[in-house]
Amino acid sequence: MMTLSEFLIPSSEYAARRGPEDVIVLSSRARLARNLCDSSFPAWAKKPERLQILKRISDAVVSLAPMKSCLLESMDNLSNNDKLALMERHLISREHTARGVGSGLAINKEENISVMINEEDHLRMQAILPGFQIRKVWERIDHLDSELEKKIPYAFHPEYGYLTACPTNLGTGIRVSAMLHLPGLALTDQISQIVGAVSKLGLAVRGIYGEGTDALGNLFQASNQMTLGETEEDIVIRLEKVIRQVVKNEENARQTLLEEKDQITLLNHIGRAWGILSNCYTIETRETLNLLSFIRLGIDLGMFPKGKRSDLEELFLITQRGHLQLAAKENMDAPQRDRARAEILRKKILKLKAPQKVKLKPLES
Amino acid sequence: MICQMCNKAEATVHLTQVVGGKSKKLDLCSDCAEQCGVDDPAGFSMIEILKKFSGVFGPEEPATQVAVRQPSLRCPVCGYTELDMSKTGRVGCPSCYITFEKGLEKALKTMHRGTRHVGKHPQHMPLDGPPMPEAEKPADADKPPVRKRARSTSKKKTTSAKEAEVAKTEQTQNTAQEELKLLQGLLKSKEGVLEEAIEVENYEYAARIRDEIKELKAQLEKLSQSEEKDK
Repeated sequence: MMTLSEFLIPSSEYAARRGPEDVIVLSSRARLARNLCDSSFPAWAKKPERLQILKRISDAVVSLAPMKSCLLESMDNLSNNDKLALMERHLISREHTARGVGSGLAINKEENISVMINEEDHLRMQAILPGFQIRKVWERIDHLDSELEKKIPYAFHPEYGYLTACPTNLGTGIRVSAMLHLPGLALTDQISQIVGAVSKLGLAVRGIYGEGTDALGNLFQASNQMTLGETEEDIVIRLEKVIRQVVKNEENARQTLLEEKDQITLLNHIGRAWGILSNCYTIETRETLNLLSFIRLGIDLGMFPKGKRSDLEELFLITQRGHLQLAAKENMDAPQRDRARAEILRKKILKLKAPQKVKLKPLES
Repeated sequence: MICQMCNKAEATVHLTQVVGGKSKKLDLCSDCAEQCGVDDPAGFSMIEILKKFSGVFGPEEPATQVAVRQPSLRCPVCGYTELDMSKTGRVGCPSCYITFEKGLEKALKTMHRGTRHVGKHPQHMPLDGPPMPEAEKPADADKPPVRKRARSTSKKKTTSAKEAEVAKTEQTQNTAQEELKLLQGLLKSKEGVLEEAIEVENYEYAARIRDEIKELKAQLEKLSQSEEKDK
């Protein structure tokens, strides 16, 4: 039988995937929550019932055209590192990594559609694509959902829509989201203002703040919060509009930083990040994410003539815990991982050479 | 500062997340932070952590919003109780939505834009919805319900939502009344969308919504007129 490592697209290839406007919008995702009408939700169903649900849904999922030659696996057949790697590729949720017997997973060959079976709901299916493609991911998952409803009876109520284990997902069961890289807004101290404005529009912005200052890796995930009372179309349009606005703000912030005298803020942050990463011997995930964010910004702005975005994205992926341990084919403790991570980063980042001031030109979008 | 999760170690990770316009703070030690998946910017959800100890954050959590009216209320299909629901913030099976309808409605209002589904409808429904707690329907429901998708225009939405409404309960006699209510609900949610569209200066979209609202209002007018005639 094929192992997960054999199935997964190699990290370098995975990281080389490009999408429209992916300078700032790293990826777009849409997921739908669905349930069988005649079974208890996974958290309440007993093991035999969960196994039966798993079988029913698995059979239906693998018979769909978009899931041809997909990987179908029961969660108890996957190692912890397998699960971590899947999570790092955003193919399963953190919650699903904790599941075992009675839960399953199906991923298509291109790794842009994944179906989690017996997560919080019987079915959680998602489409993910690089770049700003919110509409496309919604259309893809909408199509898969329409195919699947021919095979299995969904729990649907005329007034409440698709019924879900948690009332917060009731109705459309949709969550559309985009992963945004916003170092410009962070460096110009506009980030909390923007995050506040966006969340007032009924969207959730997830970011991690260290003591009220910077977010971890300057990464933010914007998604809809409410699922009942408006159409999928309305939700998708609203998210698109808001994200377009945030992207514009980030572009302006980057331009402002470039126009600053001697580009001092940029050179200072990117230069320090380069200095640490190219000379580190042990480094934690948090610091890595934060520093790689500045390297990514440097590459975007042309401060590293030798830097390629795909190399950066690969570093981002392979320095995370699951990928690190899958590559090493062993479990490591935290200090070992920190050393292995530093080893990879030092060599690659050193090759970039120190960042250089860039000539002013209009930003490419 | 002491970690809010284990209440032992020194908190070194300080998180802030804006949820629904309110910012929430959380202080954790590095071990607890790792356990919660704080290092992963994508998979991390502060809401999930907050749910674990909603006591710290009081009644803002959806879990505690679910009003417990009769603690003894139990879903006849799956055996889930209202108490279970208030503890977990989740329900046991699809039928729970009917069993606990009263207690849930209030919570839904605070969670969502509206309390009525206006999005996609399944076109293939082997069974007519979840089994009803009162009288379970036979698996071979008399007629396969034909439901149109409601998405592109508001007109379509109301017709199919109305169809669905009719399909839901046989005892629905006053369909006109129901439709009136539905249209009013739709109108309200559209007006919310309009306000937002204007706020983000998306005038093109706002214009579209405005037209939809106009259409809705016209429908409402017509409906209330014909109802008065009936009387």
